[in-house]
Amino acid sequence: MNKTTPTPLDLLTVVALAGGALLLASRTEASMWMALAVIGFAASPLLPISSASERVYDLYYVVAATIPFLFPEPAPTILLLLLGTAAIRVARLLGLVPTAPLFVDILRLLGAGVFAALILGVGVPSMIGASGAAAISATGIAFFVWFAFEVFWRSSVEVRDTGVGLAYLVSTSLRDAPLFVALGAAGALFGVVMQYSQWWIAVVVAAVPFSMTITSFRRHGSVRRTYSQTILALARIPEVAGLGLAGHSERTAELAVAVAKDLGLAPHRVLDVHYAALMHDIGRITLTEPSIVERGYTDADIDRWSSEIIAEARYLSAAADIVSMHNQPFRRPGEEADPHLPLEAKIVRVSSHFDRAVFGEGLRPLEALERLHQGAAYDFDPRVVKSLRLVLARMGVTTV
Amino acid sequence: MKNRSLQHGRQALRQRRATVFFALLGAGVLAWSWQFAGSTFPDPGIFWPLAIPSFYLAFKSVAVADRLSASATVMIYLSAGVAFALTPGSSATLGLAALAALTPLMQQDIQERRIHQPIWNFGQLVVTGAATGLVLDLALDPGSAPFLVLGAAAAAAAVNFLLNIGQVYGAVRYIYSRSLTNLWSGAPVLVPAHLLMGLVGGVLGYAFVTVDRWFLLPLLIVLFLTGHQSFVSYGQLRDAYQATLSGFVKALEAKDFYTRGHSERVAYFATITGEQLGLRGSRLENVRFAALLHDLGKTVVPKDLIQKKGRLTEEEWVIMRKHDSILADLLGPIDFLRPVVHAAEGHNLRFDDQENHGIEADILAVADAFDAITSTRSYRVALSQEYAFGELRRNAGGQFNPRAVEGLISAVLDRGELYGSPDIHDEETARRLAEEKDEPRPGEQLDKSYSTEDSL
Repeated sequence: MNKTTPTPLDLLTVVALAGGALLLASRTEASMWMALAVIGFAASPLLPISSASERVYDLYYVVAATIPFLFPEPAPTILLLLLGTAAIRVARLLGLVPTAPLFVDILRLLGAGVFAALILGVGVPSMIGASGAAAISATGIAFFVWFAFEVFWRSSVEVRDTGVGLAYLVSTSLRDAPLFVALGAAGALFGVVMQYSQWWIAVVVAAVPFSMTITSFRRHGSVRRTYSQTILALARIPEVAGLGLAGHSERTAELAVAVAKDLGLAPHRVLDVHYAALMHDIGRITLTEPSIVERGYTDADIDRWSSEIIAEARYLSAAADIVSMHNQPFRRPGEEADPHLPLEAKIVRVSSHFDRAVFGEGLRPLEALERLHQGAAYDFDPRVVKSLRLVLARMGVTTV
Repeated sequence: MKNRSLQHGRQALRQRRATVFFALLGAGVLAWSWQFAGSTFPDPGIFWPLAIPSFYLAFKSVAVADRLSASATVMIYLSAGVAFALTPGSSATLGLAALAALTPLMQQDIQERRIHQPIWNFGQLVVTGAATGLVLDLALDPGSAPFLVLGAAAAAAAVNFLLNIGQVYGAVRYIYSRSLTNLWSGAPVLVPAHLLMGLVGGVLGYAFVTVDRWFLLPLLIVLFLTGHQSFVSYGQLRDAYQATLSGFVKALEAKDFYTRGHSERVAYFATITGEQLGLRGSRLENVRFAALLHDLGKTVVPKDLIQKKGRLTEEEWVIMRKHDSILADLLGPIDFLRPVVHAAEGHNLRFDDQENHGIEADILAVADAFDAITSTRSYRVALSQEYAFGELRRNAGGQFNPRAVEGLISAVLDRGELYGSPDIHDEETARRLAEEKDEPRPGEQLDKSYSTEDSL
């Protein structure tokens, strides 16, 4: 968490947000809870929780969901949302909390603003106690709109160049929804119970289920991390043994994931590509067996060994399939392209060939790309090669 | 043998008796609370919204050392009980007994066809539920102050806990004629957790009747369900991780005759030793994972070196040792392994080294040595278990942590398991036998040269 030098735009935004809040200050009665809400906003990035699709959400969503219930008037709600975002920006600039681009905070402010507008517009706080069922339906709809907005902008940032496909949107939404809903529900609970009961009851009612839920999300996240770290370690075995090209798996994986994302693959397919690319050479450890080296082997043998080893893990069967197919050419002369050859396998194939050409044969990146272009239509899927070209240009490796 | 089947028959009889007992007990208490409560069954508008999630939670509860989910059940009971007791004209005794009667079904029991288990659950839960509700009914009236609610919730949670544990303890003692020692080892964590969750449940119940419940309830349910769901998928992912790890290790070891299964066995020895020494939950699990991975470095050493008969040259030792540093390099980036990676780093790490390493590393070292002694290597055949125990004890305090040594020995003995050769009790014989085996046997020679038929 390093201190960053603020850009003029950053400073301007903070001033504008704080200024906007100041205009509303005359119409609001200050209270301790308002101060706490601002502090809560500023500290919110300190508790990041990643969803099943590896997107990070934090305490911001809890605090933002509380505001319209806790201060059920337009003026204090808007004031707090503006001031809160300003406080987050300041905390980020001072290096007190992890940093994030300005547009992220602005988009989150917009989402929270839409939610608050819906809640207050329908008059949810005044319905509670009289017609709770109607109030909860309205709240559900408001949460849905907020969530849809969040998922949409996050997806748009991730697949900037291809546009967001519906499949991608649905698949990431399903993975993000539980976490988002848990954060929002905790916030709304706290706000409502504060209104109708003692503060300590609100704290218990909201905080305990919330912390249990968050604990289980975090544990889930930590197993996911362990999983990928272990796979990374296993994938490196052949190269530390001197049986493969050093760093090949990791670089191939990096390229393959970037290409998969660029082609708009859904997150779980991107993950399969990641694992397959990391492990596509693991069969090389078989080469510690002198008798096998004497007998001789082909690339196809290595692929087979790799996929056999990977297939030992039930959970990775998708990756094993990709590896077993990744050396099939896109199309053989005189034949139609095989429609059953998965895009994942073609991506791993192209990425691996590029890396071998550059780091194995010492070609310059452009020359390697040129070779892939020549092979396009037969050896390599032209769509994937085109995407690799874009990805490499974006990474600054080559120019388009 | 006869004795055992006799014992088994007695167990089955007692199991049947216990089933009848719990069925009658549950039905009796339910009827009594109906009588006691008169016609004051809680408002269905409060009852069903609480009964359905508790049915779901109980049905889906998973056995993943699931302290969290067990406590969540207590919390729901207490929320419901307090809400019932605080609502005019409704009885918590009857409400909780009825709630309990609805929740004895568990998915796992059904899948594994344990038919008596739901009946036991029924009896135990109804008794516990009615007693918990009775405490709340006696202590609380509609309009009780929040602090009184806290006190009553604490008392009810304590009653709930004691009855729960007491009944399980009694049933196990009656049927299997042995006492559950494990039951109490977790108590220092379990009791406060149970009380705390009970208090939280009480507060939730209070909020439930003082604030609009139609608004609160969906939010609470969503919060609990997402947490529960995430916990379940955490368990599944963890299982998948474990399967991945052992699958890989098996695949990597498969080609090496002498170390095949070594990691899996070391993982087993390390796990039972850890259990014996009181490691639980994720610490125990990490020991297991570390043991599975501890020999990964070997996979990168040329096989002819590992399988070499006779002593290694100085040069070959250098290559062999390289696998230790490779291992550290490979496993270093895995967060949870950091405390144990030292142990995996080599057999040259000793207990009496100044460097402070955890009990996990010590357990791993002992488990590794035990398996090495009791299994056949290229240069000697397997030695006996007594020899292995003696060797571990001789080096306890020096190379090995004495606690880990005794833990392993008693874990193996307690289970009545036997490893290694039955009759080879010294290193020298073991080496000699391995060398004798090296002398080409007739059949093998035939394989190499077809012409020397006279060797038959």
